[in-house]
Formats: sequence, C-alpha cells, structure tokens
Amino acid sequence: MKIGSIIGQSTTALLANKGRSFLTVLGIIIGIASVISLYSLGQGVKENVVGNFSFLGAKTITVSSQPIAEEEDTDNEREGGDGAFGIGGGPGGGMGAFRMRPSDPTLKVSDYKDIIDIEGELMEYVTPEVNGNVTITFNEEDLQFNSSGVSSDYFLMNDKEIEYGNNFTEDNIANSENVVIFDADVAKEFSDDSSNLIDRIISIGEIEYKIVGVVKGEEAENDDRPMMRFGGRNRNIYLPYVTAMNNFEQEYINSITVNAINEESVNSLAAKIEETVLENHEFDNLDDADFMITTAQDILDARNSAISVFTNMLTGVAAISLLVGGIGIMNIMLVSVTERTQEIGLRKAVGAKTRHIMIQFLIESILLTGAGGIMGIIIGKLLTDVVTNYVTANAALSLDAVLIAVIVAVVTGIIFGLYPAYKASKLDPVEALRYE
Amino acid sequence: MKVIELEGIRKVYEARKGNQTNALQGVDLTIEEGDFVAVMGPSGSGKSTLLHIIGLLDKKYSGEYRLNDKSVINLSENKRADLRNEEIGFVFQRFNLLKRTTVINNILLPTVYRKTKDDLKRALRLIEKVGLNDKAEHRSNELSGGEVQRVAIARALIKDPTILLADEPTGNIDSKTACIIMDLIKKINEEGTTVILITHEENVAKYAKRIIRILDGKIIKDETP
Repeated sequence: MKIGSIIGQSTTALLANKGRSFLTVLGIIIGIASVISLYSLGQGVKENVVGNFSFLGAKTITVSSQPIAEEEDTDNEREGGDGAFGIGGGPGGGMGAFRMRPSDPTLKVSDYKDIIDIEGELMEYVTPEVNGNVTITFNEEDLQFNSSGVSSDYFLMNDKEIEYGNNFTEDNIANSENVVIFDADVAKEFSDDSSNLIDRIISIGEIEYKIVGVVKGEEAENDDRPMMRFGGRNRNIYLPYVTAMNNFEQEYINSITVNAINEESVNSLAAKIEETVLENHEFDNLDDADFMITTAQDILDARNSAISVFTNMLTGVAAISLLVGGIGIMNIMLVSVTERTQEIGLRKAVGAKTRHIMIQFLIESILLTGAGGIMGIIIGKLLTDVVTNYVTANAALSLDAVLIAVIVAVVTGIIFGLYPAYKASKLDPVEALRYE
Repeated sequence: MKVIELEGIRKVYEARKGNQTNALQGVDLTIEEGDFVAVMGPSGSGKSTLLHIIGLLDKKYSGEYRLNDKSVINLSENKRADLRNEEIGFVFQRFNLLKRTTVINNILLPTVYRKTKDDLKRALRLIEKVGLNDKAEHRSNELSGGEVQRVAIARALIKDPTILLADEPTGNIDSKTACIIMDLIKKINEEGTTVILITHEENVAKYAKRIIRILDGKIIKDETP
C-alpha cells in the first residue's frame, strides 16, 4: 500500500472543502492553543516559584504578626506622632503621613532577643523588621520611601552587598544611633554618584540622620519577581531597628526573619522558635496565637497548590474544547463518508481492502487535527507571548509543549476518526456504488 | 480455457416488510478466455447483479462460481479484494473517477493498494493507448464524458487483468463518442483480455462476439451474431 498516495489523496479531499475543514478544526485549534499556552505559562510560573524559593532561601523562617480579630487596640497612644513621617500601624504610630497597615504588629524586641538566645547553633542570621513609610524632604521636594528597621544581619541574609560605606555596627544598634543605609534606587534620587552620599546628613521629620551605606543595585531582571513587595525592593531606606522603634515610637516589630544554618535544621529551628514565642506571648498553640511562623517551604507549597488549581482549571477548559473539537471532527468525517460513499465503492472495486479504507479516513481525520494542532501551536505561542507581557512569568514555547500538542492532536484525530473510518470501511461495495 | 463458470446462481434481494425480489433465478454461464460477451436485458432484469457477482463485489448469493478454475464462493473479503485488484478491471456507467484528482493518479488508483513494478510507465503507455497523452495532469472534473470513460478504461487495464467488466460504459455519452469507446474496448479484447459488457443498446452489443439476453433473472438467449 502506498501511504504517500493515500496522504496525497486525503489532502486533496480536505482541501476541496477548505472552509469546512477550517471550521471543523476550529475546536482543535482552540484546544491546542490552550494546551500550549497553559503548559508554557505553567512552566514559566513554576520556574518563577523555584526562583523565588532560592531567592527566599530554603533556610528562611519568618515569624510575623497575626492580628486576632477580637482583640481591639484599647490603649491607643497615637497622639504621640510628630506628623512628619510615619511607621505603619501599632500603638505609638505617627499622624500625618501615618498609614494603617492591615495587621497591627504583635512581636516585641524580647521575642527577637529570645530567638537569638535559642541554643543549639541552628541559626545563621536573625533580623527583626520594623516597617513603615518615610518622607524625606530633598531640594524642597517630598520623597516617599519604605523604611525598614533592621539589624546588620538583614543585609547578609538577603545578599544585599553594601557598595559604599558600611553595614550597621553594633554601636549603631546598641546606641540607637540616627544612621541610615540607602537602597541603590533611593540613593540615585539624591545623587548620580552614590559614593558622594556617605556621611551626608538627611532629615526625616525633625530628626537628622547620617547616611552610612548604600546597597549595591540589583540587576533589572531580578525585579520581575512576583514575590517582590509593592513599592519596590530597591526603594527602601534602612535604619537600625532600635532607632526605628525609638524615633517612630513603635513598640512592636512587624516580623523576625531567621536563617537556619542549613536546610535540615529548618524544621527543628522553627519548632524551637515556635516554642519560645508561644511562651513569651502566653499561648498554648500556634493556631490561637497572635503571630505566625512561615518557612520557605510553606510559601512554596501554598504557591504550588494555587498553581495546580489554575493549571487544572485550564486543563479542564482545554479538555472540553478538545472534546467539542473532536466531536466536530467526528461529525464532519461522518458527513464525508456519506458524501463519498460512491468513491468508497469505487476504491473497493479496484481492490481496496477494509483496512485500506479505514486507514485512509483515519489519515484524513489525523490530517485535520494535525493541521489544527499546528495552527493551535502558533496561536498558543502568540497567546503566551501576549500573556507574558502582563504577568511576570518567563513563559517560553518548549519542545515538550509542542510534542504534547502534536500527540494530543493526533490522538484526538485517531479517537474521533475511528468510528467514521470504521463505518466507511464496512460499506458494502455494491451498495456503495449504487448510492445516489 | 474457461475464465468464468457460473452454476445455478441465485440472488434474492430482501426488501423491507419481508418482500423478496428474485434478481437471479439459477443462472448457468461459462465464458472462455478472450471472449467478448455482451449482456443485454431491460432494467431490473438482473444484468447488473450478474456483473457484480462476476466482479466479486457481491458475495450474498447461492450457486457455484469458479474464476480461472478456482471456486471463489468461500473466499475472504481480503482475498476477493486481491482478485478484484489483479484479475478484474471495472468500467462503470457513472462515478468512474475520483473527483479533483489528475488523470494519471486516477489511472494509478489500483496500484495504491498493491504496487507493482513500473506502475508509472505502464500508466503513461495506457494514457497513450486511450489517446489522452496531453491530459495526464488534467483533473477528472475537467474532462468530457468520453474522456472520463477512456481514463476509466486505462485504469481498468493498469493491473493487466484477465477480465474487463464494463457496466453500460456508453450510457452517458453521445453515439459518436460511444463508437470511439467501443472501438477501444474491441481492440483491448483483440489483444487478449476477456470482456463482459452490459448494455441495452443493440448497436453497442454488436461489437461483442457473443450476446446473452437476460429477462427476470434468467438467461433467455445466448447467441453468437
């Protein structure tokens, strides 16, 4: 049997009804385009998550405040603010530029100190974070930045290299000195040459601070991380946490971040931290507590399950459109068998066997779905490119996705072409030749 | 040598509501190699049914049929397809060619299912024989009725069959073209191929060496003009 001739004849038959063939494969095109785009996007998002995982560090444990719904803030002392700048939330927050954060901090310096004192040499770095917003007046212009009160460990655990100047010293922290470190982007707003900024004095509200360091700028591509905080990772100014708490009149810490010495120690260290902070806060278990402990694995798990839901949903959409597309193929192939009954009779008369007719019609439906598959791949690729512009996922058309799409298209062609092909092959030659 | 031997062939069509039509009622017929037989009879007399049985297209009948001295009664569908491909060439009254397919590919159609050596060379020789050299690459829908039948004849001969079966090959064409077609078929018969032709036209039947007349499923006359 000459397969080449059969394919040629099948192509001729399909091209004879171009419009009909195109409409028939529309469902397949949509199905394959969804398969391609969701697979590419899925891969992109996954890579992103893995990227974030390494960015967060598999060794990272975060203790953060968890507001308790019933607990109202009764002893409010907010009149203490000076109005020039503000620190997010908590008793003692300023007025004016002051902004409420969704959750009030509950962690205290004692929690941070007790975590440092945990025995067993499981920790590499520990830093508290006291978050807020500050307004710096420069050249008669008010510039808004995020502020973080941290320890010197903050820069070490986050790979933030101090390009000019120095990290906070023990004295800076112990004496609650008015010193700041700028992120690279912040520094750029004050001077084109960041090295000039070291030892310069800036004012935040009524208090003057000395710039002691400028963090090295990160590559632009790293800014695409969806985990990035709003406001920009590179637009922070940093103060010793003690300074932040004193000057911004904040009693509480937003979060404490701990790096375990290695990944194996994460769980035991997290357990010890939990025990320590539970005791400090007088809670029996973490579910009731006013704080929560998150490891990088928790975040990864949560993201993965969110991605799975998204992927499963899209897979469902793709499956439904392939099913509908497949039914369209089956329908048109049945029409084709009826239309070409005499041709089938003629072919049988000149010696075509049952399997020859079967193969011919299967080839036709595979050609239909295959063509739909190729168009779907192209459209899926375009779709992926468009979507990639709106979400930060490095989605790329992989060979895997193309192979999957081709296999799915061919299998759809076989499944939905089987019945029409069987019907054609079983036609009685005499009846077929007589068919009007 | 006997090419076809039919003994007591009966064919009954089961119609709906249990009605039965006796299309063939015990046909006995022997055809020798190189014969040119015209089967004549009015519509519904059973001549097409007889041709379908001889052409191995129909297997639902009773009686004995030997083709080239071998019984074909119990052959599988695949074996019958092989025999149709290799031993029998068909020319039908209508729907002879694949639409939108070139003349050369229509002629080569039987070789799609069983290729032999020099298929293309043979096809080109046959195109010349039927006088369509300049139309090899034309599509079948660009041909006239007479040309279509000539392509069908070339296709029927591509596998060098023992028997050429023609079912009213001049039915849809004018008398002048019919003469060209019949001259061609006669020439093929003179070159050794056994020809069995169904017609209801006397002037077509006169090309044959033997005329069989059928009525109500029975042979009523078998004559040599």
